[in-house]
Amino acid sequence: MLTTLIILGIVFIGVLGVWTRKRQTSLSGWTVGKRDLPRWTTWFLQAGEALTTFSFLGLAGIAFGGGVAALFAIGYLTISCVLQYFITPRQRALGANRGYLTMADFFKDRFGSPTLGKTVAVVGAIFLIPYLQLQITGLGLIVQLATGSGQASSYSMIVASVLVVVFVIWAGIRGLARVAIFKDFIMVTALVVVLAGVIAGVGGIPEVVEKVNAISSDYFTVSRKGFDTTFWITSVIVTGLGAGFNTFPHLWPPVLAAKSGAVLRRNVSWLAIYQLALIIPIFAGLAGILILDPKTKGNSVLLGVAQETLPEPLIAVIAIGGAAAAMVPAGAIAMGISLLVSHNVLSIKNPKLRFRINHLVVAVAVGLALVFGLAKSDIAALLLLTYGGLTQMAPAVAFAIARKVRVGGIPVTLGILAGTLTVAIITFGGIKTGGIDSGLIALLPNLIVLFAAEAVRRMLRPGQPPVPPEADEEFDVELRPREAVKA
Amino acid sequence: MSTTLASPKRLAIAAVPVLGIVFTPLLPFVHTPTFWLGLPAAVVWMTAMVILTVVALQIVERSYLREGGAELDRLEGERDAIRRAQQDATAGEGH
Repeated sequence: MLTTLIILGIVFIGVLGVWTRKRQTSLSGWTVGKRDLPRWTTWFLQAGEALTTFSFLGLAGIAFGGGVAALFAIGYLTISCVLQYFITPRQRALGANRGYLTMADFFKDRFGSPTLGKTVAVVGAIFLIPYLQLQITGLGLIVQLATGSGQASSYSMIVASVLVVVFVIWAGIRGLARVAIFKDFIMVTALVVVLAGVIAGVGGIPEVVEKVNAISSDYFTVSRKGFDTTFWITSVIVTGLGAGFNTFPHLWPPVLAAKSGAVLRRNVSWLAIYQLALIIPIFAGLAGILILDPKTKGNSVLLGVAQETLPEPLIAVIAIGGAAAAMVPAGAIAMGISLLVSHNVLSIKNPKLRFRINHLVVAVAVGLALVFGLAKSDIAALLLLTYGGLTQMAPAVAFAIARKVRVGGIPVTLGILAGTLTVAIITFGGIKTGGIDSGLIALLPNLIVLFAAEAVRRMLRPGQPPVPPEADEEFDVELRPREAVKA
Repeated sequence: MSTTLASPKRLAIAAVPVLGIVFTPLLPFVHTPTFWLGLPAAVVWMTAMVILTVVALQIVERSYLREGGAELDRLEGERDAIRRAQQDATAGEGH
């Protein structure tokens, strides 16, 4: 019964994505529409990053092990709102004037460097794949925990993956927006249900806090093993910078599709309030300390608490909310990967062929993530790896949004490569960093290489501007509007 | 008065909650277990920082609109309308 309800919920989410929407027939329309998405549609797309499978599974797990250190997620998401307020309207204006469809277009154009465009596209696509896998694995885990059935988990992952491919290919950004609206409503409902369950089954917030404090007061300081001050400060800085400078390729379509910069500014100026919803999974994680086995895996905590405190039909609501939290980001990420590959890496000139290849890449990316999803992964660790890698593009974004670009494309490319390589070496080499986020450490070689290469460029070509004249903004305003439209 | 969105004054206003968030673990009431009204002090502090962020960004937005941003928004809207009309015309020619 529970499995059927959940599968029906997942199918409903997929149907919402394609229902009454005309099929998109051009890559531009599929990605950014007419760049006129209104305020509330843009709101739900922008809010997408706040409520994901990480909020459902990872966060309660961190609270279960690290106590209030889990608040770091609210911290970095709030900081990202502040940075996005200043940065995304500028990215959107450049995108509208110059016809960008992807983050890689922005880098290629601003630095006048196709090499940089391709580097960003390759790095972006690679780092998004674990993030896509994370969503699909998370979905399977939610269903497995809710139903207790491994088979139901596999079925739901397959059904959800197929539906994501269908609605993303069919309707692009507009289909995604429709599902995102439903996702936020069902997720907030699910979180309220979790809160009600905890209050009814374990106790009110002060009661839970008092009981947990009696077990160990460490849960209420940022000091538990693996979740200390260093973890907090470095993770908040790195993830805040990464999300704030909009270095996630899949978050570009909502920014580029927005009706105006004012819409983006107004939305993010209120969006931080949304992050307060994350206190609920953190509270559920704390309640878990009282009622779950201490050996419970972090990712199982929220649904474990729900199972202990709620009846079956309400578990279904939570599971459907979790499924939606996976399917919307999965759709956005699949779009992000396919655009980078078909539009930037392969640079296919024929529009029809490019659009078809783009669709093929959506299916391949989701298919790969589904296959990899059979291997269980630690959700929080994967997310931090992705953030650390993509944050290496933050310095380049900072240079690119200036009115005049003052560094060359090659130095920026070398800096990004040095930073990403450092993140990979630290992560895969198992190098101990004393709790310092690898993404923050990697920013140092990134900046050193960038400035050293820029110094060499200036020595070799004294007096020569770092970017070609057509990359200059004044050139764009007067001469390029028709060209931009055609692109 | 500045029409630059990221003017030093506006950045300084927005930086206040950001610093409050980054250095949360160093605050005495987070460094030691502290409770306010039965809630962990860290939760209350973070909630206050989120609200302060919204307040700071509303102040920044009003300052920007008052000091010329509203006019820039209007010009951007006009330019986007022309671009969309050109886009529709190009699409029409294609058919």
